[in-house]
Amino acid sequence: MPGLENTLIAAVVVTITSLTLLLSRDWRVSIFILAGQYVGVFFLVSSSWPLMVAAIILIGGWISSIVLVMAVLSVPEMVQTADFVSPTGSWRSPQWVVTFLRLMNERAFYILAAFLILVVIGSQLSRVLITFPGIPPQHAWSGLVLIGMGLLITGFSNRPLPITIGLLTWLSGFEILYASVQSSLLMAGLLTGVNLALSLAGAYFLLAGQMEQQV
Amino acid sequence: MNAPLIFILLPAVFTPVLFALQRYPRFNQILAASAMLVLLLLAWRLPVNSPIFLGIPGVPALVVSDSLFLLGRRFFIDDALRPVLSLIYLALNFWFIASFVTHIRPLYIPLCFGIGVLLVASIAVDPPLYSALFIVLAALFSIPLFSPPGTPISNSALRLLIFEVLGMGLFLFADWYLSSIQNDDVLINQLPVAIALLGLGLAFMAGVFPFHTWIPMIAGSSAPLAASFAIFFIPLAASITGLRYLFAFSSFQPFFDFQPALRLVGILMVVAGGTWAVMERHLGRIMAFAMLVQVGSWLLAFTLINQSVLRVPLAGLFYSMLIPQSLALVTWAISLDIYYQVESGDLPENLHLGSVHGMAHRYPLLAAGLLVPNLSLAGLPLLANFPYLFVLSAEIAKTSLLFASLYWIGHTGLVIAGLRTMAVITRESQDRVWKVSERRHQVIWLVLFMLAIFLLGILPQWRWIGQSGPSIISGLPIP
Repeated sequence: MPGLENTLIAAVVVTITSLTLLLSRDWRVSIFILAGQYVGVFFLVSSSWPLMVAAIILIGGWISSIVLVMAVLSVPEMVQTADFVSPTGSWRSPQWVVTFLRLMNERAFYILAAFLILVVIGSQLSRVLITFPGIPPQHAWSGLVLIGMGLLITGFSNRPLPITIGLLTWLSGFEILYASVQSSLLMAGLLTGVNLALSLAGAYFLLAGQMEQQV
Repeated sequence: MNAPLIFILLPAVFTPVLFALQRYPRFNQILAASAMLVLLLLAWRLPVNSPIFLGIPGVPALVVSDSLFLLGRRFFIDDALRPVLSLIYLALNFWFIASFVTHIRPLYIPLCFGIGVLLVASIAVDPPLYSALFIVLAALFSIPLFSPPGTPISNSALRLLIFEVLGMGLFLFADWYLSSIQNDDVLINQLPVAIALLGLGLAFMAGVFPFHTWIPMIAGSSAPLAASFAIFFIPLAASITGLRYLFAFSSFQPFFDFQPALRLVGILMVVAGGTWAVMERHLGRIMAFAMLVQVGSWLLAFTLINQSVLRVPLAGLFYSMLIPQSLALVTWAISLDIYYQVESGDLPENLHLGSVHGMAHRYPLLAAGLLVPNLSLAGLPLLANFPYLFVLSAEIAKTSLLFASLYWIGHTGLVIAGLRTMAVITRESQDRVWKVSERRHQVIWLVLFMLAIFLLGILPQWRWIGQSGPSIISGLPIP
């Protein structure tokens, strides 16, 4: 069972990863961060569920990430056209600053939306804790942040990959909240099953257009 | 031996076999339809928890138990649930029969079979909160049905995915919340929030207004038969889960009356579905709006459960509507699907009213197959749905005459949509001579389906096989 410090660190990790997922436009970064996010989710869930059951969530999440990577790698257009230009040059180079500022400019609305979500969650957290006394604060924070960011990621895009990542993030947030109040092996198994099915659906969305047409 | 093993696990094991046999579509069709028929017969005749004497000397009586425990949770099918399963298997059989009438893609059979298994699992799992997970898996399974391989992914599939996953989360959380309130009287003031969460989750999953948009989107962008399967069975599974919750948490009724809200949403769906059907110009989407009206009718049937009409348990009314509705929907879908393949070149946009001028001259039976189910779902007398809609509207009128009027206004919208379709498809075209261009087996099946719609309308008091009640309406218990 992880201690309070570990769950606090995990809460910070999932907050940062979910924000990065919202702002990232490079599929490599997004899927890597998604896999990292599952580590944070694992630490939070393992404080409520037995370690082996929580490990199901982690392994399921990683398999989902791998499924998405494999799907994207099978689509040549997606591999070639990463629409996010990585910041290049040294830290002193003005090129890096220009790229960063351009990114901030393009993503200003996303940042504002994320900020509003965080403010709302922060201001209402105490009420949530009173309403649901069984949920520890760091779990409530992490769960709600992932749910909020997941909704933003899903809502801000009409492309299959971000939508799948957004829904996976949303589900992770839900898993954290749910694990705090309920413990069931079947639930863990089925939620992992839904995670995997969701990533398979995302992979199907990416690949369907290239598959051989059935007649 | 137990019933969940027969009705869930064995079919679940059989589904990958159907996937493996995709290369032999005709064999696959026969295999799946036979299996579904066997399941229907077993659901109808196989007694649960009673000894079955095989009549072989020395062989002990066989007892099929009602429970299967899996990972600490129970799947439960008893004699009270068997009639409901029979109805669902009968409805599923319609779609498998339909696969013989029109050309289907190879994935259709294994996917429909798998969705059927998940649907039954969602009804049998205990406690009902796990139903949401099975419904989401069914929705995920259905995506290749209406967005097949080799075609660009449609927005409708993405929309369905988003709504189902969002609904599932809300649903599971609401279940826990309601259970907490049930166990702790201090929390009773939080009941409206919990019920709102549950309602929102169910609305997402069942395609209830205003989260219904995926239903017309799917019907407007994919093959009609596959679309009709998804738009019928996914809302149905969610609605049955909702019904189970109505009973599971009926103890809250004195503290918070959720039936007015349910009634309002139901009537809104009926009116909105009817109105949109009048204004719609795409034949597939008209079918989808008719389906929205049916979902509204289900919700309205739920609001009557605590009352009594003709001394009839009203959950039976909801279940008894399923066969006429599914029969009409599948007939409509078959007719559209055949036309979609023969004349519109597998392009959904060619199902616009502007593209089907004079269709009735070339395909008179397909034209009838569009109109008869449309008018049946609109509740026209002598057609299959009329007796049930009549009972429903009479019950609604007891509580609110306004709602009863609105209910029929919604259905009038479907009648107008049907008349409008008729006006277009019978319009004079280049082919002035009437001829039957449908194939013989299509003619036979379409006539049989339409005959069944008429027979169900004329003889609504037919005895439900194996039931002791006086009619199908009264015979069905609640799961």
